Amino acid sequence: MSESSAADSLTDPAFIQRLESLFLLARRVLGGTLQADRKSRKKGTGITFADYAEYRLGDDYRAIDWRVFARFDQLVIKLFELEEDATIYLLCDASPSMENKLTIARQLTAALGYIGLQCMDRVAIYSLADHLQCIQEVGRGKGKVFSMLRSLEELTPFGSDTDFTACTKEFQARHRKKGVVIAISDFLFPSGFENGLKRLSGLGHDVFAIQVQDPADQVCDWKGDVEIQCSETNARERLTITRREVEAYETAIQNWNENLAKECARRGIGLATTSIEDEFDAVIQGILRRGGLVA
Amino acid sequence: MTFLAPQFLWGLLGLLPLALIYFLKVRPRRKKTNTYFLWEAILQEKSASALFRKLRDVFSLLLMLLVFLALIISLARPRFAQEDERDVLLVLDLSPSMQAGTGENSTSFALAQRKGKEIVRALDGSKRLAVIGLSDHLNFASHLSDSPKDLLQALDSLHPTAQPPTSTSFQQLNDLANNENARVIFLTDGLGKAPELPKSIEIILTASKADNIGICSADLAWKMGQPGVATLFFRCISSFDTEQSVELLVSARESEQLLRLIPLNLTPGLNDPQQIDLENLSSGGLTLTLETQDALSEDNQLVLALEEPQKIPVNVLAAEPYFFSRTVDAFARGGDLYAAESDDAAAITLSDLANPETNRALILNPQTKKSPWWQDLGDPIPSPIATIPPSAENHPLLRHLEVENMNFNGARALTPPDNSLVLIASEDGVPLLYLANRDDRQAIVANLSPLEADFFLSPWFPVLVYDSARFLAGAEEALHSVYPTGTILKLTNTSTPPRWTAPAEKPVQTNTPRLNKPGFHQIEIDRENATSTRSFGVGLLNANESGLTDSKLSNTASATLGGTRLAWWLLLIGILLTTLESILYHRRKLG
Repeated sequence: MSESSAADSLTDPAFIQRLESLFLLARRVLGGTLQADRKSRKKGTGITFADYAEYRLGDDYRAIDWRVFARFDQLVIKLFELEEDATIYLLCDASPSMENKLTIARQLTAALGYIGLQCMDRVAIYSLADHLQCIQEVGRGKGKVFSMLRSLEELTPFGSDTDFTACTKEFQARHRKKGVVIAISDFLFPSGFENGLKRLSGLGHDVFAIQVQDPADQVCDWKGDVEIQCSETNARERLTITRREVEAYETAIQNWNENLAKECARRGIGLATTSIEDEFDAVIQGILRRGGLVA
Repeated sequence: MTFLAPQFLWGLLGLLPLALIYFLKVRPRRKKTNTYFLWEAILQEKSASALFRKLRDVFSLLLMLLVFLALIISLARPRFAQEDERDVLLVLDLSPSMQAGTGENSTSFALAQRKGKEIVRALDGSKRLAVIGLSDHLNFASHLSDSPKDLLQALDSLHPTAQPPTSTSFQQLNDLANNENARVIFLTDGLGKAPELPKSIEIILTASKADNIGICSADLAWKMGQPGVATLFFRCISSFDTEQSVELLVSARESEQLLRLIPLNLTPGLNDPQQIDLENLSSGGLTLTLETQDALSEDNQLVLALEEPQKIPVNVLAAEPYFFSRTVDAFARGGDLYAAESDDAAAITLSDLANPETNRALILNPQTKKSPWWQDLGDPIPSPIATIPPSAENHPLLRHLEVENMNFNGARALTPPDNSLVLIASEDGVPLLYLANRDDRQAIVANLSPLEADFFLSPWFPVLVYDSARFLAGAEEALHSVYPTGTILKLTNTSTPPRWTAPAEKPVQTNTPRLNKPGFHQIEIDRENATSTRSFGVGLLNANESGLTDSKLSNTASATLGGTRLAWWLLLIGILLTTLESILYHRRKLG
């Protein structure tokens, strides 16, 4: 195995060691050690106090905080963070446009999947393109780690387009159970990302987005006559690129990214942006140190 | 429109391969992009230029076809059919005033030369052209030619001269203008030239406005009866609008010693002449220098020669010597002749004897039958009518005589010796005045009776005595102290042509030196066993040229001569289109 392919290998011991380090960091950050110790925004019957709520008929009277009643003569109940048995859905974009970004996308997917499996969460991994392709069915436990890594390792770009909306529809059809959906993509979808994100968040999932950027997509360093070819559809167009076109393109890509951020913020979707030049573990560490994927 | 080189139009066939090359599909660089949909949006926003983008290659082809077309037509040298077909004679004024100007490149001549080159370049071989210089004669610098290179070289070969135009040169110019097949363009400053030129001569004025002061006439001569004293005569002209104060420096030519500094206040125009006596002079020459910075430097300096006065000793051997002696005495006051102290000392003898014992003699009234100077002396001929034989025309002895007014009564039939030159003869061919040579002796014989013809009382007697004495003494060529440039000297009565030496030039043997070069000239005349050297100065001495007199000539050349040729415009269009295509190409390749 060459050095580069060893570096890309997801089953390489060194890579797994990096994943393990990330898991240890995740445990310390997230605080849990056992099953269902992943924090949730949902309130329920955990042990970590989250908030107060006015007592209503039907509430568990055992949750009434009597001290508050003694002081204020109001019935309130204590709410605790729900510690549930979560399902993590990892959606990794493997469309042809991700060719340069697929390595880090796979690594990020592997890292998140590894942490999820190690935390005894149920993890399912899908790849996105013009349709949804299953990489790993829903599974739980450390025993699934290697099969997950091997599947990811064999992941190659496929399809002739990226149809995020169609993929989310397919995802909706397959999984009714709510969970955490993490989409790892460049989000450069010709048909837009709005409908897909809207659908995911509308299903009641906790949706997070990790945008993988290629600096080559962010700027235009071409000049003069070029024939541009779509990396997915192979459509071609001849045009003369002058400074005006360069400025228009860079403005367009900037607007695209800003719209993505706005859309995520509007829908309560956590967004992290990374570049192919970044190390995946640094990206995960950054996310964990910020307290997880925060909307 | 016609073409001077229509064979180049075959080059239009090159349009076909040019078009074919453009129709070959040249695929630009292909670039893969993940954001094709963004580019599509940008292209949709540029829908206004979409048509241009589609037609871009066609537009580029169109531009190159136009460039090619412009170049080919330019090579074919198009011209408008109504252009004048005549040859062009480009006449440049080479007179001294053309040197006037404030700088080397701003003289009238430089302007004329530049204008001439513009014309040559504008015509660019479209018609034949000759370059001619006009000074005291026409100087053909080139024959009719359509080669711009040759014509430009011919223009470069012309330079202003020191000779003003003459009526002869203007007549030659008029003769050129009479040629219907030629168009005469006269490039002149219009200063000091003939105001009347035929309308067929097209004039282009190239005068460079400048002010000038110059010496327009001068002379120097010994003062009669005062040895060592000479009188300097000079006259200046100014073209300034206001009175100018200048200094005239008089210095010895050889030693350059300053003899006199004369302050002058010169009014505009021709100033009054001045005469100044200069004392303690010896023979040689003077240099007059006007201390001024003006447009024309050629007339600020003048050389005048001052020769040792030639005194001819004369004796009289006559039965009636009274009139002869009085005449000699009269000329002695002027310093030219004087009565010889003895007969042996005389160079010339005035006599009415048959055979005076001298080598040079003027003999009047042949009476004795035996004489070496005539034979077959016959009877007097009644009232002879004097005529000049063709062989004697322009003889120096006749220069001051009005033969038709002379009375030769008392003349007798005779036969002159062989090798005699008859200067005046009767209608019957009887010699009335002749020059006879015998061995090394020479005599001028006047066949008349002084008493019958009242010759002693007529004005021709002293004239004949003076001219005969100077001629026989070899001093008949009385040279001036200075001559204007362009003068042609006529030196006769010399057995061999004299050697003429112009400044900084080698001697030339000629009887008619053309005095073109200002400065100090010398002439060596061989006479028998001796050589006499004469000197004189040559200068501009022309009031019209120095005064930069406006002759009121006006521009009459038609405008079709100047301007830029159609081919040049096409070439310019080609260059502009090439530049445009280059910009588009640069934009296509480099954005």
